[in-house]
Amino acid sequence: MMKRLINNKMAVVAIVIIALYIVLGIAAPIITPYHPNSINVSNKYANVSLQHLLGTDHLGRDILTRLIYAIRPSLLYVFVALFASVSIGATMGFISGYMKGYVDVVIMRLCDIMLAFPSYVVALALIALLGAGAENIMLAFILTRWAWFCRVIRTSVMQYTSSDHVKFAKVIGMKDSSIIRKHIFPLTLADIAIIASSSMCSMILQISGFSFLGLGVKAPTAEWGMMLNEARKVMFTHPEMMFAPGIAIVIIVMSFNFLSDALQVALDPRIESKKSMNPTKKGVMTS
Amino acid sequence: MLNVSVIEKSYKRTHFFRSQKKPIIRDVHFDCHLNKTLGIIGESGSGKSTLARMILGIEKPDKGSVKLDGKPIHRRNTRENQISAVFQDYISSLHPFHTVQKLLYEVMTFSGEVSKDSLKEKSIQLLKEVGLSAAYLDKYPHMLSGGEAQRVAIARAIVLNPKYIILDEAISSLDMSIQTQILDLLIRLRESRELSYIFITHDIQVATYICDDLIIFKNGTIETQMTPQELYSTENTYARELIDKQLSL
Amino acid sequence: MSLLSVKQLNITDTHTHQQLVYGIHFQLEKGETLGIIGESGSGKTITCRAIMGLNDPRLQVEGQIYFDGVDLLQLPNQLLRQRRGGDIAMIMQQGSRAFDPSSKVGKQMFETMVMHTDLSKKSIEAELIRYMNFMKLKEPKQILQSYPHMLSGGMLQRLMIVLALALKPKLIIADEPTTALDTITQYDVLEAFSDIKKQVDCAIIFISHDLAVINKVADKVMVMKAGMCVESGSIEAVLFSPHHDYTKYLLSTKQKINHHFNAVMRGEYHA
Repeated sequence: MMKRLINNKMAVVAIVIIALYIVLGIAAPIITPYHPNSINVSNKYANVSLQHLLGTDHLGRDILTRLIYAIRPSLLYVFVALFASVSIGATMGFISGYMKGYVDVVIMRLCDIMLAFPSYVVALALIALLGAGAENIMLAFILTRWAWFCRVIRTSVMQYTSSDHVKFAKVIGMKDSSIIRKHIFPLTLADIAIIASSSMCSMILQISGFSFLGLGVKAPTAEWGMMLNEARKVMFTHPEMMFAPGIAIVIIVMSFNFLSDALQVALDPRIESKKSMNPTKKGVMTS
Repeated sequence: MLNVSVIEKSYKRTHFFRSQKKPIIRDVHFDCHLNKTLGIIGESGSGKSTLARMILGIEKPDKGSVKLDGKPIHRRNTRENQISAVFQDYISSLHPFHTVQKLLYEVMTFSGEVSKDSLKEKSIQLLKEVGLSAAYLDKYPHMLSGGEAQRVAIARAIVLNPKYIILDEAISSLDMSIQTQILDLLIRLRESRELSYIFITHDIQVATYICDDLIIFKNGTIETQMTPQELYSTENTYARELIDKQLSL
Repeated sequence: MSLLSVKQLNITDTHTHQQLVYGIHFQLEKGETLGIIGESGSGKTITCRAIMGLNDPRLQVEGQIYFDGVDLLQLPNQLLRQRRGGDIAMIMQQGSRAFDPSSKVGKQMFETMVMHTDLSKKSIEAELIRYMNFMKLKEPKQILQSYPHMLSGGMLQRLMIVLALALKPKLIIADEPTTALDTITQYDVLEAFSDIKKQVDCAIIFISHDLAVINKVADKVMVMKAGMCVESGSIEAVLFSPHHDYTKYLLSTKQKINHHFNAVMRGEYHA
């Protein structure tokens, strides 16, 4: 599977970009020349120069530094939230899909309740209760999204559980845990990877969106959406201020999309062949 | 000896807190002795798939039991290395992400074999037994034709040296000429490995070809039981209907 | 002039550049039944789909398909669609998948009938019930009111056949229509096909891999292997005195089981 992934050039580019973002985000204090919040009003709206590779914003803060520091809330927090909601959703989905019966019914009704709340409304409600902040948006996200993952994964699990290779494994006496691990999980992984990476995109956009509205991260934390908000005011006089965070978002979201496509092809040995449509050979065997 | 004694198996449906019980199987009693091939002939909807699942031990009858050598078959250790299966849908019965080699290894390591060399040697040996060359080891299921896939499924079924193999419409999805090849393969394996088969099918001609004993299954219960030779003079109306409606060239 | 005349049909897969069908050539008169025998991968399905124009766009079709004097391969999609259903009907292998699971079977059949015929609602119902009786479907009115999941695969398959017949097309293409059916149902359906042949004047192309089935319904036969026609002719000629090795091979494998069964039935193995 890894071989197939590496063969796909798009996937390699996407992985490199994502890895780059993560490394930059973690190593932000080490590699950035300035402090993200060091205000220098006399130097506001500076042009691109060797000292400020992307210029400065309306408070004289170095944009490049802020851009890199912004990786932390925009990307890393989102990773954590995604991981949490996928884990909860997948676990519930597996239990629900494999066990069926009463367990399934109970879990599904729980999902119904959670899905009845639109995630944006829940986010706003939590912000109203607990105040603005990235953590609260993430919490809202986990609360609503796990149910969606649970449903999708459950369908996937149920489909694969009814297949004959699982039946065979049961017949010869394989333990349920082994069956889930070897026969069902790898097959559902393709589905999980796809929905997880597409969710990643919407989550990044969501947190940026809320920050743009002023409901996300608290100023003066650097965050792409926040930076877009600040740039909004000078959109016509200093349009370049919008480009940096905007392009940063576009690149990472696109990378995740490409990775998601590539994963789907890499995980399933059938897909590559479908593209070239190998006609199946007839089994004229002489025994 | 495999002893099937299902008194009842129903399909329960809860509809607004009221349970509806619909019986699928009633009063099915038969034995399958070692080294014998028992045919279960039934049309679709007769309940034979449910019966197959109960014989395999992955489903329990509501009333009654299925026992192997006196022990209940739904217990894992009763089934271990004794019973195996080949299913109808060859696409669904092979893990799509595993090569032929991997799926054979999986079953072998399950039974305790560990050394990698002996695993490979044994796999090649098995493939040879079912008429496939060693080149098939690296193939994925979607690259195989129907006949080849079923041969792999049969190879997988005999890995654990079982005494009984349940063949649930194992050849029904294959082309006519391949069906005959696979049937002959099954007959050869039966001789060389002293296997007992329970052959479930809707095709009475095929059943007559391979089975020692026939059970005609209708509406969830045994209509009649006889040897293929006795078919010639049977007076059972349903059996007669099945015989008469068989198409021949 | 023949009803259907297929000349030099070649089908190529544009993605893999593999030729799937080579120079297929056959004719069909009104009221005749052509049986196409072939195993999986022989190209029989895509040949017939080419007649209907239902192939995947990546399959390039060359040649001529004259239906009622018109070359179907030259027709624009709009006109081709009118012919489909109206003049040419197709019965697929998996009848259960042909129906929309969310609406009643009767409603779906009505919709199709309304689109292609001018009959009133009552006469449509009468026609459908008439053919359902032919297919030995009991309680036709109740069946029409059912959803697909309430009916068995065999029943749905027979309903597909009913619909195809009720449309009174000039040509019916049946792609392995009885393969998924049980012995008894298959027999009944084929009997019904034979009866209908006598009453309705339509031509039938019947695809199967089972020689016994073809023997029962067809007048003439075409054997396909690896995209080519290896033998063709009348039933008697091809099935009882075959020329090509492949035809002989197909016959021999089926006959092995047949002969054993017939011998048992004659009492030769009577212990």
